[in-house]
Amino acid sequence: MEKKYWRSPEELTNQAIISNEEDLIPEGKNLLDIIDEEIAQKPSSRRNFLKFCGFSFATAAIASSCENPVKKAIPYLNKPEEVTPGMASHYASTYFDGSEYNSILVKVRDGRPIKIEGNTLSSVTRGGTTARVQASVLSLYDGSARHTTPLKEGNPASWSGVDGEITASIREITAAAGTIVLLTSNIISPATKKLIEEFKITFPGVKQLTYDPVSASGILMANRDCYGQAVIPDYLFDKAEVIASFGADFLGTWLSPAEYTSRYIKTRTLTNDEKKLSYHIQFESGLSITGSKADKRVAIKPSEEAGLLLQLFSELSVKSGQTSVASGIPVEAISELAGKLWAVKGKSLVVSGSNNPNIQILVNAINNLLENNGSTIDFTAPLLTKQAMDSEMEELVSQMNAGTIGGLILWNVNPAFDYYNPKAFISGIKKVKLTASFSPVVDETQEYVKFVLPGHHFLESWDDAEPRRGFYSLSQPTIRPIFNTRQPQDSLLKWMGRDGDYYTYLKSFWISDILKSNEQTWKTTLQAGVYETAAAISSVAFNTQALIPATEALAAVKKSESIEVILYQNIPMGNGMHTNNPWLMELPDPISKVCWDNYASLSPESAAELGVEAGNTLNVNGIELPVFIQPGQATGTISVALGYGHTNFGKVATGIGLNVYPLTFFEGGTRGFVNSAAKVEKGGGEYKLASSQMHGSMEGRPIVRETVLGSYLESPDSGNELHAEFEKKHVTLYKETEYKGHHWAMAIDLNTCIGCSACVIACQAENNIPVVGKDEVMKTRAMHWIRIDRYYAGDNNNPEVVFQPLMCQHCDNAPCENVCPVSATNHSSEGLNQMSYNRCIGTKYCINNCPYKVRRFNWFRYATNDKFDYNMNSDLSRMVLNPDVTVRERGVVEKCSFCVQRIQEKKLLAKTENRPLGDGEIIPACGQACPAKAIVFGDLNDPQSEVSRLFKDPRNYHLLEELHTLPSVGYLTLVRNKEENKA
Amino acid sequence: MYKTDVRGPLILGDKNYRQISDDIIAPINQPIPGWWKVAFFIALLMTIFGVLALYQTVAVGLGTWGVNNSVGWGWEIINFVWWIGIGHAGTAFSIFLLILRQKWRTSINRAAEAMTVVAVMCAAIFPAIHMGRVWLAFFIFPYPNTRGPLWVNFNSPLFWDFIAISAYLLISASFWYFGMVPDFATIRDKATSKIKKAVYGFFAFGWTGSSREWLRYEALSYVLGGIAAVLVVSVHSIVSTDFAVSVIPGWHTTVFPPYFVVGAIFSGFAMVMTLMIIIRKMYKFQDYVTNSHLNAVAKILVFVSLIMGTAYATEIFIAWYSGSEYEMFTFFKNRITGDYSFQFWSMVICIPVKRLSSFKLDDLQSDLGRNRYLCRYTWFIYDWRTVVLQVYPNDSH
Repeated sequence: MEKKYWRSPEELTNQAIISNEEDLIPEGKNLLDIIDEEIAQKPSSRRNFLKFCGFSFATAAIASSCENPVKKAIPYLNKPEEVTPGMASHYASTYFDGSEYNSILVKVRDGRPIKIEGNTLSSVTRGGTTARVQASVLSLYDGSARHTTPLKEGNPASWSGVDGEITASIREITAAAGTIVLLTSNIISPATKKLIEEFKITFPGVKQLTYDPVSASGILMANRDCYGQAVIPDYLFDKAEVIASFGADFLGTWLSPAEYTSRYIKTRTLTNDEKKLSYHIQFESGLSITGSKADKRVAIKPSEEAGLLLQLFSELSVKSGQTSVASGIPVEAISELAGKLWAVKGKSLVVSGSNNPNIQILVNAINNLLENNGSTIDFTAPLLTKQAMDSEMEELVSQMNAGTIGGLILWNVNPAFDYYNPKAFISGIKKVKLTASFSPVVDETQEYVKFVLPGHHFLESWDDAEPRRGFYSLSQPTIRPIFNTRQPQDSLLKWMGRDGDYYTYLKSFWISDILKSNEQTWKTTLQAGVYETAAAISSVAFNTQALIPATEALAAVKKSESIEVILYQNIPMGNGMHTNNPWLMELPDPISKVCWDNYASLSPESAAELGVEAGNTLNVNGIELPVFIQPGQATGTISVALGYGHTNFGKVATGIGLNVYPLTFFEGGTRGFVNSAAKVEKGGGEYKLASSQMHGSMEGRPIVRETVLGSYLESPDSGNELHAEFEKKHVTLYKETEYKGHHWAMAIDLNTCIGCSACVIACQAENNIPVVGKDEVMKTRAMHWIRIDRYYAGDNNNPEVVFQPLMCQHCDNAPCENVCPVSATNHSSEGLNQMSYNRCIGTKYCINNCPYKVRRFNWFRYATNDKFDYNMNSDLSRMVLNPDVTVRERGVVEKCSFCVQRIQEKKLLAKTENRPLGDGEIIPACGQACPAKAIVFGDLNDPQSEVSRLFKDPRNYHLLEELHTLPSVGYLTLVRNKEENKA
Repeated sequence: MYKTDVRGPLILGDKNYRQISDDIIAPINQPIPGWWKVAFFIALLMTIFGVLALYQTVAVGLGTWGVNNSVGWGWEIINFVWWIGIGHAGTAFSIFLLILRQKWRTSINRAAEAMTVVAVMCAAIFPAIHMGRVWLAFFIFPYPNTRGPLWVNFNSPLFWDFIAISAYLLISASFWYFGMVPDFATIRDKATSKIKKAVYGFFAFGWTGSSREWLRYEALSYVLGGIAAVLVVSVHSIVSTDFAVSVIPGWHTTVFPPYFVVGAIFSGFAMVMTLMIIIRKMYKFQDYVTNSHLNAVAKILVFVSLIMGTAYATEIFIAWYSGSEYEMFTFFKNRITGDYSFQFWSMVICIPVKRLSSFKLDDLQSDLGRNRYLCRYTWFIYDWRTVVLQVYPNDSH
């Protein structure tokens, strides 16, 4: 027998030899050194010689035969200190588009901003974002709409040339005692405000006017009359036990949605220890996401609002021992509401979205009766993001037409598109001698403007913001200006003849005026992005003088018999300044699920009355709008979204939808958004809308499980009894997989999800998801990895609405994995259902077999394809792509990965820091963006983790759990605060 | 000749062997007839269209088709199942009749087997081009590779399909070819030109027609027949698992394997009959493919259609009996009364019409018409099977 030699006892007993050293690359050596050493150690034999020959020939053959595209990567000559290639940096900054504020972190990879996240340090937005904020990073790279250079009469010009001409012109006009108007959107930057004041001193003829196409003038005027302060108070939804909203979509578009959402959900969550829910009633005409979340929603015509508020006021007056005021026929819902409000006096809140100052005065009076001022309504830190008074613009247009305005400088405004009477504005601007626009992108107004002085995108700018009094934040550039643009503030400084740029101005202003400190504080503040000062507590006294004329005026309002056309801002587009953003354009409206168009929403009854059905068009004052039948729309009303129908606003926006701003009007000092005088008739055309969800019913499946608060308090698993039943039946013939390390899972609270769709855009930005266009959406080929399913329940005229975010469920017993012939989709040892794109041959069997329908196929090549000319077709717009995520090839299947790149990043970070991974450290893009924090991600193997806790909650269930797919996503039942138990 | 009291004559016209050989070979020596050129031209046009469509699919992407993110399969899988299905009939026809020693089989089996081979080749196109990245189709082959543990997924019915189709193609092509060897020899012997003699001689494998050769020929036929008989049942059963192993209501059905096999034989026999009616008319083979042969095929069709009817009834019964409202929705609401009711009812009506009419074969023209309908509607069955059943995912989205 041959002798057996052994080196160690392990070898003798045939055990694996564990050697850690050998696997590691010795420190201080690179790979080439190691290879060299290897070669040096090995004697050069014939075998080795042939090996190297073979390798060299093969390499040479491959290198010479395969033609690889030449990609230029230019290394840093001097590497910046803070940049490590492959590592992202985050910079705190501020998003403010002229009406919506958000404190953000900008993720920068290799010098380019690629993603926006909420800044959790901000006590205003608390880390939440909205879809518009998430999408704003894409507009930075909008090569089709952004100006590349200053223009004079449409021709490229130089900055020095236009500066000279404008300065001369300003001097000339002011010397002749003429007026130059700086027409701006809402400005919340204290430094800019100061700068404008200084500009006005330098040039005495200059005055600043604020214009906001969808303003809050009604509230401002009412508060001026009632409290002597034209401000918007802070609405503390978290302190209110009863919330009554009259048409205010405060979770979607009203004033400061991200902020209000974070407050609202505090009283709407059951995952904290308090088992309490606030009561929310919504009176509205069109179905909004806020109305969808309400415990009770009443569909009303806008003209009914005055009567209802009068009744409410009257009943509350009686309760408080005062005399009642005249009101119409009492409505039961209001009497009930009055009782509820009165019961929690001081802990209730009534808001209205109306722009009619009289209504807002009445709302103030109601809140005053309920003693809400100082408790749920706070004047200490009023909201400053809405300052525009509609009457200012009105006056300006008449002055322009009268020829008394010498110069008009437009700053972030586009009145030729969004003014209710664009003709008057255009004829006026033609009479103005000096016209200039600071707009960074092309817009409709620039056609009539002599100088276009493009500003930076906000991600290229220095700025500051004060969204609420005492709450400051800073913006910092995260990329060098891509084009030859200049910040408007720099232009003002230049024209004033000041040395130094706006950055120096801003910094010295902050150090001296806001921080009142030194450079070090400035640096730390800049790093945090936010700064707060305690404002002096301000209490207000209600001036009843204003109430009497208001109630008299409102009492005269009768319920209109005609069809009322409501012009509203929808979630993706806001007031229309984001229309050229393809991500937002393809974001389905949370309620209607329609994208790529605006349309006339009609109730089924109204549609029958007008003799139209889906697919027809409706002629509203000559505008042919596509008809959309919207359950829950108040009968006798039509809702149409603003912001569409641009004629010159970049390649995506131009020609999409119809501009309904001309249907708005100016009346009683404010702009009206409810047009009851419009002529509505059946149109002649046919029009197909692109909808991402055609089916609103769950077909009796327990997909969304819900209950009411009473039943929930009795038994926490109410509405979710099936879960326990299915858990009991959980048997399998096969060995169950054990997850030894991590086991990733996600819990989604249906109670706090408001359907706002910020997650959809966040996911799109994070995961390089292509935009496919209207035609493809119509073929059910939208690519979003996360979608918000919306289901209706109950009455077709006023349905209950539920939202359910749906992404890959990462089933532990996944139907898709079994059927893939090439194992391109498989299960990771951490419970992730993963896709290897390189292996996928595109049989689409997994798509068929996925019961949740969350898999997406690349039907075409979406990147670098002229047919999909959205954001992946030019070098500039592709800069937004996340380098951590593959851009998928045509013919492969893709789907949610639980943001595996983020998991990997944090795991590696924890490993290099030699510590266990903390709970909540990994946040997928959707969860990060969520203003309601409804999406919780974590490790199920960690019993202390938030997600483990939520999985143990009796409300937790899995989707289609009867199929035994064992999803890693859990949903928490929806609990409504109402009486009857439909379950 | 071959006249039995029960069956009647196998070949009409009281012919001797020489006449038979001459008659059968006649089309080969004739100049190509005009109708053939017209038919070939039409077929060529269709092929060119098909090639263009394939080019479009590969060059632009699967987006040129109507399928979407809820329903990933459409016509391509319908075509695949249909072609595989009709391919079955050839094998089933040959083998079952061979095993049952039905002599009249010889009049039709060659055409049936040829149809099988061609149909299976057609069928193989579709699973290939339905892939998003057809150029990587070889990933599905279990070949030795350098990817370590990354191997094909033996759990996937698509992989089973691949194995089933390749095995089936191999066996049916062999069966077809070996069956033709004596015939090639006959043509070789009768051929006048040297080239023809050489070519047919090559294909005839030096067949001399000795008793020993015939003995081995018979043995080989039975061996191949035995293997193929198993395949007839297994291939379409495997194809049916593409649907049956999924979790989708209306697909997840255990009745599928027998149901698919029977459906395949049904449509395939109808196709064989359609082809034979044309061939015997155009090549004047009425004496060889006699009315009584076609009548026998028609009887089989009637029998198979009864099995099909039972399968449909079972499917609908089980949908009701399962108590699952989603199964009920798929079968009752969607098919019987819903969007697909036209296809459903035309199928249901078509089968009894066929059943009633197929006993009498006097008027071959009208029979041909009926057969076409039969084929078309069996096609509909598959159309409907694959598309209709996907309405559920469509709705859920």
